Amino acid sequence: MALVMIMDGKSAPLSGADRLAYARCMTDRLEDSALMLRYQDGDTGAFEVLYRRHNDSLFRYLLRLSGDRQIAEDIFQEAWGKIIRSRSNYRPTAKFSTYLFRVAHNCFIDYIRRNRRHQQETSADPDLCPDPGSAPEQLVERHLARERLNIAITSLPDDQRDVFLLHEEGGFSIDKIAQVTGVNRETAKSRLRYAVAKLRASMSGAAPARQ
Amino acid sequence: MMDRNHSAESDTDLSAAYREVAGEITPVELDRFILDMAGKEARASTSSALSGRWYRPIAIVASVCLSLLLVLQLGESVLITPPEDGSEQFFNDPEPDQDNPFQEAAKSAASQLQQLEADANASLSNSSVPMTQMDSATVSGPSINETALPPADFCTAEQRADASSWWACIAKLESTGLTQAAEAELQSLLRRFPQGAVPE
Repeated sequence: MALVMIMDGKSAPLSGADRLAYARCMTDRLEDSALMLRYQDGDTGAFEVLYRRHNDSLFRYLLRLSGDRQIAEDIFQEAWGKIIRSRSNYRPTAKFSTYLFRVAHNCFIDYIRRNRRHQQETSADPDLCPDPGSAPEQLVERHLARERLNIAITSLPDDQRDVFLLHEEGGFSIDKIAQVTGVNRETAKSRLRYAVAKLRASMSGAAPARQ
Repeated sequence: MMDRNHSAESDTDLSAAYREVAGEITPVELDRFILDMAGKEARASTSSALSGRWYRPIAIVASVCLSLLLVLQLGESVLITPPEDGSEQFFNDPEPDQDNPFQEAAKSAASQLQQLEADANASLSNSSVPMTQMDSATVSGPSINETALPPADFCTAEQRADASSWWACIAKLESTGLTQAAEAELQSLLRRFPQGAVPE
């Protein structure tokens, strides 16, 4: 089927560059699962579009979940490697983002099991606690607020931090969070509520409620 | 795209604060590494799929040919299996081999047998013995073996002139082991002297 462009009521065939732009635009509009199915057939361009959609949110999720940039990068690489290698087994039964974050979540759980001492060392990543430097007063205040939030997120229990980050970075509902973390809905809801309460308290400077 | 069902657990201020904090992006090197890995994996699977394309039809054709050969072989073995009713027609060669020595021997034996039968029939028809004069209880009709016996000339004409001297000659032949000659002389004696007394 030839692609045509309608201009002033008349149709004209698209040139090569226009065709490429049109194909890229249509690829960008495809759903994640369709892109993954295209990648199954060897379309690396489809995978790049899919990757660009989710790479930053997944990286931030892992960065804050682990509290360490190097660990986050390792788990990020491992998770995408699993997605790539098992692409032939992918079935679009759920949203791709749910599948992706679940794989990353499981990779992180595996990492925790391999390195039990992780929990005691997650609080001091300088990248997550930037130095405010010689900024104006407002910027200093904003940086201080950020620092408090970062520290509060880092000091959350793993389960609550996981749920909060899935909510913020993955944009998942309670049901999807329960699906990704493998717990029931009420547990996921309770964890998110505790996490939000603690973070809100830390931002306002009040003592967080204990779970 | 975000699947946000805001509920009592969500906090827009907190989300906004988090958005300000969470500005990190994936390192470029990591992006490049993942995309390279994806490209390599896709190329590897594509090349393996291409390499699989040429031998699959060949494998199918080979399987079909082998199956056909097997079916043909089975069909031939069924054809040479002898029928259960044992009819000999199946084994008869419609075109006998001229060079086969067994067939030649069988043919000559059959012709010899036919010749012998013809000779026997001829000799049987030539024997004009008046059966009415013979004692059917003691003497049966001449057989092929009897006609084949040599003529009864072991006893001399003087001995044959008298029944008793002929009997003596026959006894002599029998005592010397010439039983067939004695039998032939006896037949001649009985034909000539059917009422003759047999000596003790």
